[in-house]
Amino acid sequence: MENQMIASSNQAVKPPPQNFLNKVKGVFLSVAAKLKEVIYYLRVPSRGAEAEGEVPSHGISDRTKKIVTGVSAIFFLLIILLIAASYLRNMGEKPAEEVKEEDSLQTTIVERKASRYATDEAVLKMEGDVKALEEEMNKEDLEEKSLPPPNLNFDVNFTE
Amino acid sequence: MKYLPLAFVLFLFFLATPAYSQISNSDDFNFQRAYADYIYNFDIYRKANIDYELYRSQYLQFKTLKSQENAYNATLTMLKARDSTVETYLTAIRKKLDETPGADGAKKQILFTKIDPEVTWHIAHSDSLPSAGTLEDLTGDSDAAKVRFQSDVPLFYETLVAVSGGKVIYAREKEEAILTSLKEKIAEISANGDKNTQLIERWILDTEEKIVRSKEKEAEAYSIVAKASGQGSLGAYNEALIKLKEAYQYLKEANSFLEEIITEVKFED
Repeated sequence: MENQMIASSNQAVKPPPQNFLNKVKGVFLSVAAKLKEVIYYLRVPSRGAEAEGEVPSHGISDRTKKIVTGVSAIFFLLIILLIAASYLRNMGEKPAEEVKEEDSLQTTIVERKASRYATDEAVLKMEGDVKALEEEMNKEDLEEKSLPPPNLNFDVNFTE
Repeated sequence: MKYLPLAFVLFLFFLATPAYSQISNSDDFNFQRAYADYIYNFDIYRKANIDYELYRSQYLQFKTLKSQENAYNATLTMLKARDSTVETYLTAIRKKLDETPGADGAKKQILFTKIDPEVTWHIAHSDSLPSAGTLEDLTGDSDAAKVRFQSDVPLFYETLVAVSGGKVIYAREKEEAILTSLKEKIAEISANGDKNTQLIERWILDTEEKIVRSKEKEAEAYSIVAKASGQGSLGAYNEALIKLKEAYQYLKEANSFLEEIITEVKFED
């Protein structure tokens, strides 16, 4: 009795994993047995009917049909749920990133204020000079393409 | 009313003054004029060379006195035109170098002292060509010009590199002037304490480094051309041109840095 009490209190706190595994194993075995039964009926419908003691018109018992339908329905539901979950997760992440980028851009523009040198004459002159030089440099071709040395004929002789 | 003729004369005088200066300017001998002369003479040479080839082949085929006379005249015309082409080409590259802003003054003078005797030689050679003589005489004269031209080729390329280098120097000097003004302004900002200039000062150092690297490439280009001689002149010229293009690229980057620095100055921290 004392031992039983100790056992029950232990179970309440933490069920022994052995029992849980046994239960799972039992469920799998029963599903496997059912599947074997279905395969058996599909392959030899007459023998399956003999074993059940009933002879359904199509060779598969109603109970087996219900189990197969149920299992396949659960399987498809799980697939649909997985697809829906991954789709929703992707949808939820993307807009969050875009909003972040916009926020950072806006803050950069808003935070920069013109200094008192923005209208300084010397600074504006330097800016103009730099831009003019940039334009000049982009237009300029270093190579003097119009002045290659002339290609002349120096082969002057009167012998064949 | 009696002052009307005087006013009219004065009006005509003011109109005439700018017209006179325009004529005077158009008389100046510049690169455009020198280049046009060169193209004109080169065109004459091309036609003369075609005639020379034609009469030469006729002479070799018939060996008659008439065909010999024709060959002599055609060769004489071609040799004169060839001398004029070299002379005007030398003048054109001389003017180009002279008018290129930034071209180093000392280098210009050295090249001018090399170009001018060559121009004189080709003029003298052209004048010395005999109006009457043998075909062998003309062959000898042509060979003399050939030797002279071959020795001139490195000078042509040296001048062209100096022209391209002048463009690099011009851009660099402008950048250095902007950089000096910018440094003065940054010193002023730093003294006023309006803005933290540490970042800008670091960027200035980066810009200066680009300019230093550009100068190094420039020096490499001149060194390549100085070492070149005779047949290798074209290869050396191309190599030097690549170095100058690299130098120019560094200057473009430095200019873009300057633009960024000025933008930074225009904004608060």
